[in-house]
Amino acid sequence: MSAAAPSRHITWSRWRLLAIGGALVSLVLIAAAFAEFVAPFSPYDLDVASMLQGPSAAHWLGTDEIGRDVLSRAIFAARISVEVALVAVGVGLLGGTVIGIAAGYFGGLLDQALMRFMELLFSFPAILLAIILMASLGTNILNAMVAIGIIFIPGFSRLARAATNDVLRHQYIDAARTIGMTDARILWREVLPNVMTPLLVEATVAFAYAVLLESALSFLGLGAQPPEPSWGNMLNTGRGFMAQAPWLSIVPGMAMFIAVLGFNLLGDGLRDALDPHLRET
Amino acid sequence: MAEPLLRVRGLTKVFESGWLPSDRRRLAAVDGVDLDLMAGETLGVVGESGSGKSTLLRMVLRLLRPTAGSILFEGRSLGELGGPELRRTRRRIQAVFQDPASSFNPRQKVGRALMAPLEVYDVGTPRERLARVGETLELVGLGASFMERYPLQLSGGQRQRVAIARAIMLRPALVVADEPTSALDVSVQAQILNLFRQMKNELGLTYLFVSHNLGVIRYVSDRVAVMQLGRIIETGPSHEVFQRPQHEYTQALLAAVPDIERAAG
Repeated sequence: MSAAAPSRHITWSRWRLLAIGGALVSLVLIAAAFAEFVAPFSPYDLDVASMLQGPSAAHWLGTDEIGRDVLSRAIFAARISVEVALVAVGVGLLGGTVIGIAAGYFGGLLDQALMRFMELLFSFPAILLAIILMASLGTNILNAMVAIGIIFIPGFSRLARAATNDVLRHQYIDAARTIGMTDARILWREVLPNVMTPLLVEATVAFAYAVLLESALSFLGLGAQPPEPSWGNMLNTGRGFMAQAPWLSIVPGMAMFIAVLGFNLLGDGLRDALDPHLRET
Repeated sequence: MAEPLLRVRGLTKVFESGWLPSDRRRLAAVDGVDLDLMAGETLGVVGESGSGKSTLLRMVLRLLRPTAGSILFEGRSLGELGGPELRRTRRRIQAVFQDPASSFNPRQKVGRALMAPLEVYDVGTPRERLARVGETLELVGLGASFMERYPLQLSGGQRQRVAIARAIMLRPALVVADEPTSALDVSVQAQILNLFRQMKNELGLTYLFVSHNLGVIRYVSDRVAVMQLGRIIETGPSHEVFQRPQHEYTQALLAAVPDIERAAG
């Protein structure tokens, strides 16, 4: 009886993180996927009669400086954020996993060359690297996705390499070689499934970071271009009306808070739930 | 005299450490080892940790490349084989590893792990493979229902039985065992050693068996080779080495073992 109590506690705290994170993330994902149906107005419709109005029955979260509905813009902005984050994390995860596993598994000169290049990328501050990449690729939202993705590659590759080195220490790799498996088969069957857990957890955290980076780029005018709504460019606009219309800053700020918190909690919850060594209980 | 199944000559492995030439250290983990292993025989290699036993084994399994020397298996030099010939030879040498906690991919069920050797060599149809995995699990005393278990759901002894099943899946000629019982409870060790014996009798296997445990080596071996600092210092039939050790290191090793029979008088 007494032995069951702590394991039940672990189960509940695992569930709690997953549940809260999942709920917040679902909120963001639903807003992004069904913006047309969820938002009360179009994000582009001007209502010049009601500029800079505070929250009201007609406009729940107020209107901006040219009379657009802030709630609707925040909901449509979720779509941009999620799209950018999805593509960016996809680019980072794929590139980082391939580079990290190759470096860890084959070692030697390839390892040295790849990881030194990753460190070179890593040594730039993320936002600076993004700005350099945007400047050379051109300012549009697609390039923002790629730029943020490239920023993620070094982090994922280090994690993948460390996880691969850890897997290689296990005797099941020796066993696979003894059986006569080819490198390709060993990588696919034995290495990849065992390095995916930390990478997927990192991906949810990177998702949160991608949302922030996209907002930062849009805030600087390098991401989503007006009139397209993005939490970043909404914040930038709101900056000029901080005293008269604080909701212009608070709403996109809260939206980012919900998204970032949600993905972080989901990441923590997933890490606990996916650990095979905890599955025994 | 017949040709040995495994013939090792002058086998040497040197590890180097240090980047700068001035602080480079060379360590001969295995130093000019000669071994002959006849088909159907069990050769026990015994020595302290660090004596080079495991390095020797890893070279026989082609997990490590020798610095010098040759390994002949069924008359063919392992180092010179490549492509399909290497695959054919490799298939006939299988292994049981030391740590049952680490020798299985934690994300694969037992059935999938045992299927792997058959898949690699394209043995049979998927249905036939499944049947063979079931039969082999019966053979090692577990039963086909274990296919659906994950390694973490098994005890150490059960995992080592599955490891033996994996090693005999391809009906190899030579099974190499690296301390296969040292991670197990004493009561379970005996069961696993008996299973090794039983598999040898039923399948006509040849064993190269490495352990630091003299009791284990004495129990399973026909012949014994004693290793110290990378060299084989004494070799001979098991009963001779244990009863009349020639080398003083072997005598010291034997004297260090608490002997229950002798103590009981």
